[in-house]
Amino acid sequence: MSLPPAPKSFYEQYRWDPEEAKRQAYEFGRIMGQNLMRAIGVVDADLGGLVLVLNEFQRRVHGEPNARVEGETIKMHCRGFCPVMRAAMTHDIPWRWLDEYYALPMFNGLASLFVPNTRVRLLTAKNRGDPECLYLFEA
Amino acid sequence: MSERRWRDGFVRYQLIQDLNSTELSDFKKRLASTYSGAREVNGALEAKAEGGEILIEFEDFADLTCIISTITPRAGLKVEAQIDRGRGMLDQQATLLPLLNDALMTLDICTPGSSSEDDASVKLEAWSRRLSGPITGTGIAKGCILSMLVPLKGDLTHKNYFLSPTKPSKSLKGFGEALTEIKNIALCSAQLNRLERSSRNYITAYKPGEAEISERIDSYQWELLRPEPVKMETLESWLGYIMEREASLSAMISAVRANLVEAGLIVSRVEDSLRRLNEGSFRDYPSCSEAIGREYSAATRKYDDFIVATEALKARLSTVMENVRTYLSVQQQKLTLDEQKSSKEQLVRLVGLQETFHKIEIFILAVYMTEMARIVFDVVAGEEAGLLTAIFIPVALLGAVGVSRLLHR
Repeated sequence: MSLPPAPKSFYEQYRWDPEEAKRQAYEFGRIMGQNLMRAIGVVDADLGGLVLVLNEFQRRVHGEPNARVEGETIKMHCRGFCPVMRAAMTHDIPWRWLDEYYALPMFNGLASLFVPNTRVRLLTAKNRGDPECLYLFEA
Repeated sequence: MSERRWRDGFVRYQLIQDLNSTELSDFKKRLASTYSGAREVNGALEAKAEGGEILIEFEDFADLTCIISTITPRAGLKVEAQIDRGRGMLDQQATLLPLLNDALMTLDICTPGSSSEDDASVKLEAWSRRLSGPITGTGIAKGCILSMLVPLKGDLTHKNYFLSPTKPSKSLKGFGEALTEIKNIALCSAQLNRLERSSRNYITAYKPGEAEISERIDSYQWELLRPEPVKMETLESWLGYIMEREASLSAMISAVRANLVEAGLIVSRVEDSLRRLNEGSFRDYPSCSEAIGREYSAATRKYDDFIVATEALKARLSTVMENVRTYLSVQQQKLTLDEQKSSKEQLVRLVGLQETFHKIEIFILAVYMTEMARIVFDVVAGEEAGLLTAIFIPVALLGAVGVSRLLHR
């Protein structure tokens, strides 16, 4: 899997241009998604395929592969320490910036491979003091 | 600031993130709009309202801006009315300026004038009743009664102090000095709160993160105990997980340790202020210095506790890492032993094969020698050749053994 650029270098490159940051992260998400699809042999461009790719992504970044389809949405819970949180702490980068302009657009890009115009939202976020990040993918 | 302003009045120190000149000018405009007839005098705002007069000054402290609002209520009001008017006038600002709601520290000081210690004590009790807060500490500092309340609803960003001279005119210099030290303490509180805000989310994220790690490493240890061998790819993924989480914990420890060092410096500045206040005891109240000291120690202890807990979790991860390594090394040794065993068996088979080959070699040689002898006997002995050949067979075998030994010497 070709991983996206490290959060620190990404922040340094795009901190003053959040819109470009979103665009770039979206593209990274698409590339990463395509690589993951190839790696695990997913061909179905539907919510089930997206769940498989999201869980594979979580496995590869040592996260929690718990994404699952709920009706027309996918929910994914992240309560453990994540690379974004570590980068925010280590390099003193605003955590919210990384979530908003790096992680979310990346998941948006990845999801767009399966269901175009998927909306990804963070219902709860550790950066807001919540105990976990809850991603909602709405088809 | 004139002496009349802060006597018989109400002072609020409010510390917010540093404002640049444009932001400050905009802020002043909006602040002025909350009071009718407000005017700017030497960078400060002055206004008259129903409750009395208000003076708002701005001071820069490195990366913080301190807004000092001094209320002079109309003369002749009781302490309760002073508090109500003062707070009413100030809370009016906060409703219009959200920035103030997000202040790092708001410290209200009720500053009634008193004619004696007894008078000050009566006003102190009235103040405590009015704000419905138990008194944390009270003492005599710089010729004034200094008192503080337990923060309401545990809100450490809003504190209430009481400062009243014990004699009508004598302690005015001391009164000003005490106010300055309280301002220093407010500044330190703001810095400490900012530090707390910067790490609050990481500290909140720690508990669920700890639970996730505990569950994961417990399952790893359980898997290691099972009789079926764990696959190499699985072990590899475990090691990757452990290394990733260890890196996160190290990052947390180092960030919180930096906070701890900074908090320690802030606390030492508070202690300096408390030393300068040189507070003496007042009646049987516990002193403010003790209460403030306890409060600030608790603030730094929080970081200490976090570091201890995180280091303990990191140690658990290291233990599992060691377990996985030991498991790997045992598996490696088993593999080596198996390899050695199979090599030995192969060697035995090879030796056996070689011996068989030797035997066949002898047999072929003997057959060859017998055939040669038969040709000779056919020529020499005629009809007796068959018998002679039969007799020659043991000789041929012995000869073949001899030749074979000679060849393999």
